[in-house]
This record gives sequence, structure tokens and C-alpha cells, in this order.
Amino acid sequence: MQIKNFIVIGENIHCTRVLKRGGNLVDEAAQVIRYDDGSGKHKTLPIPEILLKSADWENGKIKHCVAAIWQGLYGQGAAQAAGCDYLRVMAAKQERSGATFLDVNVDEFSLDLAERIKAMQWTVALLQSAARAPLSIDSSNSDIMRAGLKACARERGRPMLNSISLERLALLDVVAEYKPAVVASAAGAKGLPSTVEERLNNLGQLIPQLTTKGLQMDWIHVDPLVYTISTDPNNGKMFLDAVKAVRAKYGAAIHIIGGLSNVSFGMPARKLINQVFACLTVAAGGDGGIVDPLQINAGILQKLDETAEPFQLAKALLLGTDEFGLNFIAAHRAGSLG
Amino acid sequence: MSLLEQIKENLIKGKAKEVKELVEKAIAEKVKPADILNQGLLAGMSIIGERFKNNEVYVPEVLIAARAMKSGMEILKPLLAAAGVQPKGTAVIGTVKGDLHDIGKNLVGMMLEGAGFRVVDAGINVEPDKMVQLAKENSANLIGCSALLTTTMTNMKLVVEAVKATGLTGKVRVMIGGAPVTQAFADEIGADGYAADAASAADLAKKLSGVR
Repeated sequence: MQIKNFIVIGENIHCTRVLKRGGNLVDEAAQVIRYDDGSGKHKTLPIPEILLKSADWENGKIKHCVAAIWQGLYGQGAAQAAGCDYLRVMAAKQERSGATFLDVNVDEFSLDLAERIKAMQWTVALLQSAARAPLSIDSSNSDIMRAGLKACARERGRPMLNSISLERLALLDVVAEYKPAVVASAAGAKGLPSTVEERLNNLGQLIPQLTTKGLQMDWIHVDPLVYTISTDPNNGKMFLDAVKAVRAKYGAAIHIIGGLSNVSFGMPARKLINQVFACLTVAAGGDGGIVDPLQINAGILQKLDETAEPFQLAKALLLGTDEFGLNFIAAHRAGSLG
Repeated sequence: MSLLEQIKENLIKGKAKEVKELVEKAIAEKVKPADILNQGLLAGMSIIGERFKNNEVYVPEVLIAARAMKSGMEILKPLLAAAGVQPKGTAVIGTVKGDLHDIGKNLVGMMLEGAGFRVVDAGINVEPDKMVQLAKENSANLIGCSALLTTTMTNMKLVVEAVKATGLTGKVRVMIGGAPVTQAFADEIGADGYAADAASAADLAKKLSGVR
């Protein structure tokens, strides 16, 4: 399919992300995370003591971005350098893969707000030394949001605020102060929308407040909200209908994106589902996503074969014709999704 | 295959219509309602839960199995009540104040029902007092709190405190879960238990209720 521009908000530098103990990337004996620096050189990031004592580690997981930021902030010598290097490599990889923005989320770095603010400030500074792409500051806390935007160097481009919605109007002050690009979520003041109309109503109340604060239409990235297909077969089509409706209502300048990978939660072969969903989103009038640029970018989407069976199976799942994805799951078990 | 085995197998496959018919047949053949429940419906859900925990089945498969269980339960419920068969306990579940995520909470609800509990779903963005009030009204012995965000998980503490403030400590146990939640956090806020996934939540509920 013809895809000229696809705004990629690279979602990888996110403190919720885990690696599995026993997976290729975690060396349990040496207590390090393995990575390569993009030139094929193998390197390791020591896992901080504090994370080896965590419940996550006990449960077989390690939050790798937390490990890297912790070493960068508090580690000594080689460990500290490895923390910085790990994040730089992540940023560079995403940027090479076409990330328009690099999303940064440290909400799970610590339970302590001051610690999270410190982590955000430090991470922003570090990433700006590694990549040219502007950053997308992603937090559910407005103090962290403010700290992140403040740390962004404006000469590298307009940073992004991810996200504002009717339930988080307190962020309007931050919007007015920093004039960032924004992810404008269709969430309502008191809950999530369940129909296309509710989405349009919520956005109809939100968007004028953003433009009043001085935002231009093309700084606004509407997120009509992606729900998972595994719990309701209508969720894929509803998002796509909302994309169409937003485009029809607001015209060409506004951007329409979504946390596209949400759609595949609880399903096998998530990468395939996400890629096909990105194609369908573009066809519906969307022009971006909060996605992993290593899996989804304009180049990758352009090369997908729409006539191939795996593509068609994923499309049927996403449009709700393969109810509950039972054909898709069967194809996955039979090994025919590739 | 015995009738109860067939109920179990069809439930695992998510075949709601077949489960309903088989339950009707079992009732007609005078199989005890408690056996239909325990050896048919709950036995099937327990296998689904185990497979889900091991990543062998996917969310839609859990969903349709739960739906199949419901179709059987609808017929069985009045008979169970008449025979004096009690649920294993009653749980009020909800996503805490400020948090709108409901997938995990819904899965926990399905697994609890699949383990023989009565479930009262308080929904999303639930005030701590509302949780406790619902627990009182329904004589629940469990409250299950879900949160997906670090910023909202702290509201779980308010639920624990609300339980204390109403003098329900010991009568109502609070269990918590959700992506950012850990056992350490449960200990810190004084919750009675933490479960890492929906199937484990059902195991924990049984443990906290002193049933098997």
C-alpha cells in the first residue's frame, strides 16, 4: 500500500517494558542484560542490586529501561557508563528506524514522585545527547510532564506532550506554557468512550481548548483510543470508524494516531496484527501511531503484502469478521502465520 | 465420555450452546447440581485458568469459555440455590479511583466465577467507600482491586484504610493486582494478598477464603 508519511512515536523507552529471565537478553548467572550497540558489537548492562531484590525479578522479569536509568543515575564507573550507553543505543536504533518522536515514560521507575521527576529530567538530557528526534514526554502525572517538557531543548524541534484529555485538563496550563505538540486523547472527563459519537463529543470539547491555548491544528495528534480486539470483536472496526470520522470533521491538517499495539493485547502473533492494524489505520485516514519503530514504520508498512494469507487473517480479526479471532488463533497454532 | 466430562470439554472449547444443552441433559438425568458445577463447569474453567497462566490459551479463548460457563450457570443457579449449595465466597472487584482500565479486572472476575465465587463487579474508577459499601451490602468476604497505573495504584491503600475504618478487618480481605503492583507494595499498604495474573487471583481468593 502507498504510505508516504507515517508519524512514529517510538514507544520503547518506557519503564514498564520487561525482559524475561531465561530469555536470550538476560544473563542470569552474570546478572547482566545483553545488548548490541547496532554495529554488531555485544555489550552488557549490569542489573542493579536493587532490581535483583525486586518482586519482578522473583517473578521472572526485569524492567530493562528501569535498570538502565538506575545505573545512569546512581551506578558507578563502568556500570554507570553502560546505563547511559544502553539508552543511547535504544534511542539511536529507534531513530534509524524512522522514529519521528521518542516517547519517554518513567512512571514505573519508582513509587516516589521526586525520584520519578529526577529520572525524567536525567533521561531527557541523556537522550538529547544521543538522538536528534524530538521527545514525547509520556506520563500520567502533570509534575513529571512539566519537568520533562522543561528539560527538552527547543532547538531540536517541538517536543510532544503525551497525553491530554478531558479527564486531565489541568495539563492545559502546561500546554499554554510550553506550546508542545500534543497527543489529544478521546477519553472523557468521567470514563472512556464506547462509541464513535462519544469520541467525537469528547474531542469536540477538548480540541477548541487546545487551539485557544495557541496550538496549531498540525501540532495536535488525536488519539481516538484503541481497545483490545481480544475482549470485543468490534473494537478494531470502531477505532477505524473513529479515525474516518475525525478526519472528516477536522480536515487534513490534524494528525490522527493511536496506541496501535493495544489492539493485539492477549493475542498471539502481535507484531503481525499491529502491522496490519497500522495499514488499516492509514487507509482510514490516520497518519501515525505510538508504536515500536523497529516493527512499524512507513518503509515496513509499504512492503507488507496485502494479498498474503496472514495479512488477510489479521484483517478479518481486526474488522470483526473472524469473531473472537478463532480462525486467527487456529492459524497461529498451525504455524501458518509465518 | 461421561456427561460431566463432556460439559468440561465443551466448556474448555467455549461451546456455549453445547454446554447449556449438556447441563440440561445432566439435570434431566438427575446428576446432582453440585457435581455438575464442580466436576463439569468449574473443572473446565480451572483447566482454562491453568492454560492461561501458562500462556497456552489466549484472552478470547478465556472469554468464550467464561461465556460457556455462564450459559450453564443460568440453568444451574436456581437448582444450586434450592439444594443449598453456597458459592465459595463473594468478591467485590473493581478498578480503583482514577483508573479506567478494565481488561485485567474483567479477567479476574471471570476466573473468580470460574473458581466458584460470586462476583460483584463495581466497575472502573471506583471510590474506596463504594467498594466497602458494596462489600457490606453483599456480605462479601473479598475485595479485589485492580490498577494499571503507578499513579492510581496508590489509591489501593485508601481501600485498605476504608476497610479498617468500617471495622471490617478480618471479615473482608483485600487482594490487589495489576501491571505495576507487586507483593512488596501489597505488604507496604497492608493488603491481604497480591496476585500476578487472573488465574493466580482465583487461587489467592480460595486461599484467603479458606476453601479449596
